[in-house]
Amino acid sequence: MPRGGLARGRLSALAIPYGWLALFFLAPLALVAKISLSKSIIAQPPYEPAFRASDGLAGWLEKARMFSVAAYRGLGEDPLYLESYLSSLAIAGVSTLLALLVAYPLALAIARSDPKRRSLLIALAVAPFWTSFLIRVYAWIAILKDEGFLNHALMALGLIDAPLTIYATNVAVVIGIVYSYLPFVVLPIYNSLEKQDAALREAAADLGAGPLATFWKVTLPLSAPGVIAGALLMFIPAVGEFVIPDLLGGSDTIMIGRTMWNDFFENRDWPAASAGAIVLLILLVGPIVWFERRQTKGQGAQ
Amino acid sequence: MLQTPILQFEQVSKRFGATAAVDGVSIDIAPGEFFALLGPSGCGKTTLMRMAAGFERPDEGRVLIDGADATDTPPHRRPVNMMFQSYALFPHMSVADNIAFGLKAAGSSRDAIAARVSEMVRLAQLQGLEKRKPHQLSGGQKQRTALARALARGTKLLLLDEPLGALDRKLREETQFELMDIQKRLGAAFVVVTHDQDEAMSMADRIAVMRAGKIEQIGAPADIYERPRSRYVAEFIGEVNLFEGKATRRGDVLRIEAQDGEIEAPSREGLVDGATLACAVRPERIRFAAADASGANRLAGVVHDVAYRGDHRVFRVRLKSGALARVAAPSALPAPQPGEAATLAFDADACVVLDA
Repeated sequence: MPRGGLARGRLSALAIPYGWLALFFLAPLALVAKISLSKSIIAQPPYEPAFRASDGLAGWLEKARMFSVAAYRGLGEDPLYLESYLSSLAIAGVSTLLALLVAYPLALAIARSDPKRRSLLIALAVAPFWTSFLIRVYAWIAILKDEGFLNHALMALGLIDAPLTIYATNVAVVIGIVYSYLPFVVLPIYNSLEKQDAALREAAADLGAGPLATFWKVTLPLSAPGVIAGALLMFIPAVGEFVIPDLLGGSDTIMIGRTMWNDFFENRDWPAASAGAIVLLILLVGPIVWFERRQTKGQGAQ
Repeated sequence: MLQTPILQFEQVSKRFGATAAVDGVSIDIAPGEFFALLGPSGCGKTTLMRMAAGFERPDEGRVLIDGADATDTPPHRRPVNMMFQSYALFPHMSVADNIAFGLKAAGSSRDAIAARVSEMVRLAQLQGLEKRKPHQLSGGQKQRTALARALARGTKLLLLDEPLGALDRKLREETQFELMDIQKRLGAAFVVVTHDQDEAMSMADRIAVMRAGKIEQIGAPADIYERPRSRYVAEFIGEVNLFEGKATRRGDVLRIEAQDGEIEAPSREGLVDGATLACAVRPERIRFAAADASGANRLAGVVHDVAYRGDHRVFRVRLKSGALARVAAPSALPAPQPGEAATLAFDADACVVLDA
């Protein structure tokens, strides 16, 4: 077989994933970008310009001149968007930190358990995925509301006299996000801990480091790639989270996902919502690129 | 032993499930001694070393370090350092940080650490590599970093788990001499675990040959080589010819009726007349004799093949019984060719009598 055949074979193999990405990621993204440059009108579709095949090339070029960055300028003028971005970043950031605090000990305990039992424990950590996400978030309403399980339990134990207001607050949103995304944080951390050579810990102990010093100087730094991967896997989707703040948050819970939803469906201002999505994407691409570069740089060290 | 041993195993045993990894072992190791634990894989030598480091707790018996009971002392509180077989270098730290790790854990001052690290870098010939990460080092450089790290704290007892196992042959020999040199200079006791008898023989002051969790024999290399106490030791250390047969005592001479001829060996206490015994003879103790020579310790055969080894040659000679005997003779001496008849001869005192 000549080399040309091989190259063609490899090319067609690559064409599938790239074609998939182009069709289902790049094309919708281009549509959103296009709408973000359009102008909101009361019509169907609710923006202009709208390109039609009947316009012909000249008509398209004519319409393309109508593109403007007005929607982006609008974002800057609307304090709600700025507040939404900041509040989303804050809620996602706090949730991610809390999730790391819960996930790390969990991942460590699983990684240090009997090898025969590890896959069972990992399966248990992922078990919530077997139930619908929506049902699990609804279940948190039953737990957190004023007359919910949590308040009943705390009052029965005599820890509180009056029910705590958790449901319909940002606290409930954070609890919901931490709960929902926890497995995404546990798995990469577990993976990096499980790969660690136990001899490294023995070497640290042999050189006089106690268990705590060994953790800070050896175990934790070596698991940093897992911690960062888990944090990004959670933080990025959590920033744009819509369902959890919508179900568990209150009227004063402002998150960018909800703000965009309102613009799309309540205000029918598609360009504004699209511009909001593009800005969010740019905000989130930064950390991903940073992590990718770190990963490739660290590759040699593993 | 006049001095307090730096390391003592007192009747230690360790079981893993149904198998006894270490079974009632007692060893005393003197300060400054170069000691080798030698045996095939699974003989318990690594478990024994891990008990000294504190990574395994003996089920029975005690481990004493410098006279103090350390059986229940956790690894990070033991005045012992270990060089790991895999080296276990911290991948996220430079060579210098790896070496400094134990000093930082001990809370030494910054200046003291820097001075000690550069001293170790010189000792292990790692100059110029201080800032490299382990993955940027060659096998030999990793080995020397691991050694420098284990030596940095200056403990009087160093444990080395297969220290040369991952090196290629040429480097291994050089490193053997380096290790011996460093050990002499520092005066610390080195305990080396190895499955390589050459390594143990050339480096150690004393060797403990282990088998199935027990000590078969402890002694100086020459002792173990010349006077193995069991067939297992004789066969594990170097090449050996074994001639078996019914033994009869005649004063201080023992006669063994082997299939290939009558063997005369020095007798010793405790040998039972009429028992079946084996005579072990090293290849270099056998020589070629004139064809008409007769008497004991004369075995006739035909040269099967010859391996040239530079300064000497190894002959394999087919004996009457069909067994192949090995003879090592200096290359300079005249010797029969393959296919020619040969008569093998050896002195009675070349023969070590062992239970068959």
